[in-house]
Amino acid sequence: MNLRAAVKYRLYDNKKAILIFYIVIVCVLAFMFIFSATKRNNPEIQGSIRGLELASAIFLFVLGLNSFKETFRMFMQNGISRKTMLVSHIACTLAICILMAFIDSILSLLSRSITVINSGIYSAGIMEMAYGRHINSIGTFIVSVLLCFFIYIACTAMGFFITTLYYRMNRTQKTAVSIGVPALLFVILPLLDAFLLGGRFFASLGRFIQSAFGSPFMCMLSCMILFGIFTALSWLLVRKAVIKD
Amino acid sequence: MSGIKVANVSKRFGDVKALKNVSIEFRESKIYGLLGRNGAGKTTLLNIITGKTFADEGNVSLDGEIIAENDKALSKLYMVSEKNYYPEGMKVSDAFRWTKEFYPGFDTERAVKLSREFGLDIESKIKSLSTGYSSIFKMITALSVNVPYVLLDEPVLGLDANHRDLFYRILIEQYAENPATFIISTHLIDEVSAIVEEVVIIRDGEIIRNESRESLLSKYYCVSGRISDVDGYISGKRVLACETLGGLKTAYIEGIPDNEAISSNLEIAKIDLQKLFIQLTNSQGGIK
Repeated sequence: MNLRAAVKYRLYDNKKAILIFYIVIVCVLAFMFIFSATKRNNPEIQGSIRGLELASAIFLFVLGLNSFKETFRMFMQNGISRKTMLVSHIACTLAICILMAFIDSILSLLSRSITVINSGIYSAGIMEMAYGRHINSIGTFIVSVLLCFFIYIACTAMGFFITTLYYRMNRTQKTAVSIGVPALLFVILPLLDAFLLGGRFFASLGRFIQSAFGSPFMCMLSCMILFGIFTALSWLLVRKAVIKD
Repeated sequence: MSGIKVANVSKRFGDVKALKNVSIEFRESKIYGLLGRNGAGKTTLLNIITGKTFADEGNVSLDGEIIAENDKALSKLYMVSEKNYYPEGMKVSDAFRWTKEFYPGFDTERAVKLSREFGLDIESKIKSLSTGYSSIFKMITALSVNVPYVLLDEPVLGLDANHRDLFYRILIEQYAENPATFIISTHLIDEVSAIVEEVVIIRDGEIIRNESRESLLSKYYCVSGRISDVDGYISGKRVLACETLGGLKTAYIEGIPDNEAISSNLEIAKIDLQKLFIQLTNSQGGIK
């Protein structure tokens, strides 16, 4: 009973943000359709619609970032255990991500029709951008939905992990992580790699990323592993989280 | 075993020991007054009982089941905190709706009726409520939730005298109709004195008294009179504290008044809960 209510609450809590996001996306696409139709005889008009799914991935990352503190307090007030809270988060993430993956793949197909209306406007979904594959059959449509789904769950889990990590840290730890991680990734590691390893570290990292995300199926598998890792780390943080006044 | 059982619970915040090996039982269908000075550990104890925070040592069980991370046990508890834990942008009516989802026994009709009685606009957003109305909202939720254990941490914070009176009357009516365990943590001891059946006094993280109000108050009395008379009388007795004003002295004594006091010029009186609380928890210490 509690899990059902917790999932219901989470879906209700996210409903408004998702609706607003899609209203914006649909408005942008509608504008592009109207623009393409009215300017289709003008050869100087060139444009592209790319990575609609990336916008969704970023949105879901932000949604993950906003999925902890307020809900945790609400659930603590209403007798929901931390375990149920995390399970409800996972259930809600899976439901939202599959729905958004499906909608985005449909929108991606629709946006491709702009190219038919106006050849000056180029449209590409994530499948085409990353792997050069069009959605031209039910099979590729299903692959596109699954690819989006796994990317989305990984992004949401990463956002949730970051927000739980920050919730558990004190002010000094937050400052250290906020400065330390970007400094390590974008300054210290590149410098060490350049001066000590002759660029071999980043070259190996590039090859690893290439193999981990090199095909739609490898990307799905890698995202699933990332989702598992971030969720497991989040659980370690959530299980001992306490109400902060 | 029915009731809430707190067993050997300790909690530390940095260098401060908030609770020191606390063991106590809250039995079914009783109204408890959890009394203590600021920082005594009342809220920490309630937060540990409801799983909002964790004990460093010890455990808390409800009807024989450990409460921590136990949805079934947690569904039998509802706590009103001083702070509001509902989303601030949420409307009161939505908060009632969601409380009903989490606690199916929540009586929405009663909550709406009580809101009318207290003058709470249920279409208001929680963040827009004044301190008093925020307390009223939380208190109405607690009075409508229909669970066996309701914990009220400073439930009348910011309420005017009329609303406080109304709250106590509704609480008593509810208790008479549908008995549940209420644990009321408050500083307004005089006001809850007539309501509570059991008194738990906590001082510096330790439970120093835990018994029925009748039994506790029957163990103490006070004598007043001239300083020399009072000093003569209290010699050899267990004196909780003394107060001197001009030439008069009042002594708070543990025990039962004897014939010597009754026949002397001393004035004997029963001690009230607030006075007793002050004497038991003042900085000088009192008898432990």
